[in-house]
Amino acid sequence: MSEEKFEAWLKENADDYHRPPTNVPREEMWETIARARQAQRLSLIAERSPVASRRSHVSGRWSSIAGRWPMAVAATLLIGAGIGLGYWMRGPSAEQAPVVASLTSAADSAISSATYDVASVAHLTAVETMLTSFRGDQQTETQASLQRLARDLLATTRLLMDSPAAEDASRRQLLADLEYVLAQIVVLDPNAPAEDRAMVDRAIAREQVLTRIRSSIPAGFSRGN
Amino acid sequence: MSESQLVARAIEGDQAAQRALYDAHVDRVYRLAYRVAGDDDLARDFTQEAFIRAFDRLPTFRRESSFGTWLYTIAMSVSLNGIRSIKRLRTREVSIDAAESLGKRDRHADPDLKDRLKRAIEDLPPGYRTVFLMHDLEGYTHEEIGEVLGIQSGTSKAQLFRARARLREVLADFAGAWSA
Repeated sequence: MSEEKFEAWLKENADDYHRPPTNVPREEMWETIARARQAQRLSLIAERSPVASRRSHVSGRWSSIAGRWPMAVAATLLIGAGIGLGYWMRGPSAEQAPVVASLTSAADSAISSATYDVASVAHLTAVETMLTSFRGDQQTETQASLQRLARDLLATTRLLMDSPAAEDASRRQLLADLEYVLAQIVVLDPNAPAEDRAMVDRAIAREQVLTRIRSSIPAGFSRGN
Repeated sequence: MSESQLVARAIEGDQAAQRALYDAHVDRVYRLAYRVAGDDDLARDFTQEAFIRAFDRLPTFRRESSFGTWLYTIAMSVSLNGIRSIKRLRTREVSIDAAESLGKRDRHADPDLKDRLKRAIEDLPPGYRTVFLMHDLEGYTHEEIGEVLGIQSGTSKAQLFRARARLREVLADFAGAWSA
């Protein structure tokens, strides 16, 4: 009897724990999901383009990047939309199979690798810019918009962590550290006391995040190449 | 249109079917994510990521369980991994001094029941807490929990029993409230 009373009491009182709001933000979330899906389709179009398959024979890791600008644009579009590339080279769907089959596996692999490299570098460039702005601008309004950007970048970081882009150990560690820092910024209240912001700053400094990002970006890339 | 038909059409890229599946399940996914995260922004992130992953992986859905169960499995994985990352981050940020002061905090210093209960739930081992949230707060059956978390329903029952026992022990000084 006592047990039953306790369970009833517990259910009644614990229901306030992380109680979800009555209104679920359905439309807002759907818009984000639809944008991500749209960007995914764009990336598939870029992947299928004749330019992409013609370029696949180009050798050299970074020398091929400039020649693959359509794919770089697609990758940047993805990042701009706040989603990552983890979705688009993870095994061909039935729909894309004929196109993929027309490429040799080596060429396919080269495109994939170079594309993830481009996407990673573009992403790191965006994170570097955001973190630099975050550290330099203390205004609440700016911080709020930077937080929104940090949220998108966090999503992309997580997807890149779950993609071939994270196969390189040092890049994987960098992405993991970025996830920590970005998550901290996302949960930071725009009106938080200076000490809370200082904690984020310390995390950025301690992990040498900006230095490591800059050393991961090939010269010239962040300046629009 | 049945859910099975919706799934088939969604796999073919039918956005209306994807939207219908979303409408059918988003409330439950969001509620679960919110129970885990306790924060609207994080719950949104986890919900969105769960649906994006689900639609992406839909061709691999084997129909061994319902679409809902399969989706909730993804949602719980996304939410628990996400919140784990954030907790890891926060742990890294707590200084040794702060950690020591937390350890010395008088357990009876805060007489507020809700706060004590909240803290007690958060102190539960992750497995116990997840089962407790899903069963006692969100009304999932042990069979559903078992499918979503990939455990036996008996394990779910055992974890719930232990979670309640732990809470009862920690909240013993409130015994008058439930035995009255």
